[in-house]
Amino acid sequence: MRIHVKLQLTFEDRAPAGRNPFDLELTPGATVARALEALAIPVSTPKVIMVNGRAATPDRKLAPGDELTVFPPIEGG
Amino acid sequence: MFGWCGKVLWVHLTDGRIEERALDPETARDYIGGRGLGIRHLLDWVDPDTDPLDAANDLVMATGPLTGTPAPTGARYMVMTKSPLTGALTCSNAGGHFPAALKKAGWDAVVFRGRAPEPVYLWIDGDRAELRRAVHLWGRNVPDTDDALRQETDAAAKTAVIGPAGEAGVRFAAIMNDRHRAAGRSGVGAVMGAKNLKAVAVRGRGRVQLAHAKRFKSLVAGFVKGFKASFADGPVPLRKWGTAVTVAGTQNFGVFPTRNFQTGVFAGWEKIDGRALTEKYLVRAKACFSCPIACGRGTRIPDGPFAGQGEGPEYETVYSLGSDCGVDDLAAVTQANYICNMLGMDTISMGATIACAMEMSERGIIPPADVGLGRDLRFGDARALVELTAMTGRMEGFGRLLAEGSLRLAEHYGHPRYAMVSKGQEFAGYDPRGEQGMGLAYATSPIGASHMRGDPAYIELLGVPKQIDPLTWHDKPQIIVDWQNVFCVIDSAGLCVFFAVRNYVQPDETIRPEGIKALLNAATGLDYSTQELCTAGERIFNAERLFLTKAGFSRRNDSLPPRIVSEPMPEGPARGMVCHLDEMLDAYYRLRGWDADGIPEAAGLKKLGLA
Repeated sequence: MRIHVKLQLTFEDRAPAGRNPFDLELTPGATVARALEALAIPVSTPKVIMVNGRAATPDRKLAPGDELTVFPPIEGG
Repeated sequence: MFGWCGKVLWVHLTDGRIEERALDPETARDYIGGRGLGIRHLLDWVDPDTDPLDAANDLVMATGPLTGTPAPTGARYMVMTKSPLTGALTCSNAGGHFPAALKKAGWDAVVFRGRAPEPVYLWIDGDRAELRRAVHLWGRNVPDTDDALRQETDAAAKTAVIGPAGEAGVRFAAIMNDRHRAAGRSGVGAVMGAKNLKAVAVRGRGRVQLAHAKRFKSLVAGFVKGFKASFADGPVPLRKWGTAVTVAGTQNFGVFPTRNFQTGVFAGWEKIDGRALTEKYLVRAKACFSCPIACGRGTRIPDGPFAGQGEGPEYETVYSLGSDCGVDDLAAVTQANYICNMLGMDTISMGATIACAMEMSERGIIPPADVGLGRDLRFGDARALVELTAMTGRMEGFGRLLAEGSLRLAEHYGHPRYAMVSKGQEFAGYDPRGEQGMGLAYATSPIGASHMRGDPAYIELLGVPKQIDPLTWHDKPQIIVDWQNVFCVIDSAGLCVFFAVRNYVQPDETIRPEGIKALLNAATGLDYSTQELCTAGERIFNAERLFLTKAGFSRRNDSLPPRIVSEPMPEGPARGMVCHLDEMLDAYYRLRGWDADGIPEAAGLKKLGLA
């Protein structure tokens, strides 16, 4: 299945050169954790995960066409 | 005493008397410092019904026991007084170098009472303090005043000053320290102006005495090491991009307030976010005293109609003067920020008030002739943004109405619903429809809408110290109570929230300020337990509520505008949501031990030593 991925700020360097957002091919039923693994982002690295505009956790199952956004924790505003 | 200096400077402006008073050790222990000492003073010495601009209103500048120590971000002080914007109490916080200098001069706090017969400033050189004439400084802007003060006193002096806005009584005038740092909110600068107090200059030559210096040093090393380790893989976002990096989080979740909160997504967000600021205008990152983050922005706009140099903008300014006004011209936002800093005004209330005026103009409520720009005032007008900001700071034309803040402006035209305020203070940069906890935090903040009195944006949007769902509301009352109490501890200890939330606070089942406890005990020689510290936070928050209750505030003041509680978010990730404030308030009051009208129950107050 194919999902859409947007990597922001400190995670941008994990995106394919020149493409962000981009599509990612995963086996059907894959979780966010599997997508992160494919993107070489350790589960232990602090981050904010969103799927389709909602906060999500690594065990969230993805569906075709889902939009996954990852950005780092931010300490201030 | 250790950690604390043990001394408070009392300045009687009416007759010019200055006296030194001892800091009561029991009060220090129970109220910690900063915000806690401030509210204790207001409860003891200020009639809650006092007109904020009357001589009978006191203004307190208070440091914490960790201010001026090597504790990471031990840079903060709190200004407490009654607010001319809200009529409530306010506590307005700032970093920079002035607070640490005050502490190194040997003072935990300065209390200003009365009103000087003519403009004066306070010069503190260590133990010595004197009031000096400031007639020649009246009318001068913030950097000019800072220059003049350091010339007249000591080149190494640190200053906290008001600009023309504070002198003229702009209801959201700030106290600016170190030229660019602001105790910005709620009009503390107007209170200073009403007292004929132009500035405080301080030279601190001493050191804060620590009870267990060796242990303290080792704790500091541990926190710095932990901070560095957590960013071993990449840059520190706040240092690299400044606080405006937060736009990514708020835009992602659809809570980036746009066109006076008519929506939560802004098409031009990438033109005004932290990355754009860094790439276009950043000169250098700037740090407050003892800060490993350095989120401050030294910036320069090299050319064009908005050319200039200064500091900022921060995230809140990018929202208020940017998206909330529909302006995606970063140079204009930055220049309006410079003007606020020069004239001494809160950028949040300034931008939000202009946004309110823009909406009422577009709806035909404010006639173009009233605004006087020679054209219709509409969202997205970058030039109008800059012009109106300057007119407000100088109290010229339509600026006189803007200087009253958005609620009085909207009431003047008969449409208070367009003021995005709680207790009369303008919202920070988070739309509560897509961030339920923030709605409860705005409504129950003692100072009116504020993101810094128990900021749930960290945990709802920004992943610090962990991530929860911003759209749920049943789980939020307990979280808000916990964070509000912990923020009381952070604000009273003299620390910066930006470092504290991730490095000093443990987010397990309950939110616990373990790191602050360790530092406080090493600094003061006391033996706070975690529970005692949490109780101190609860005591401070309830003391503030007690003051508000005495001033006539209750549940009806813990409110949000109709747009937020009854108009669904029209688009974006939070589409269809309203803020479920009433449901959260019932549960929140129960957790607080307040009655259904938001009045603290006697038993709870007694337990906290407040009755």
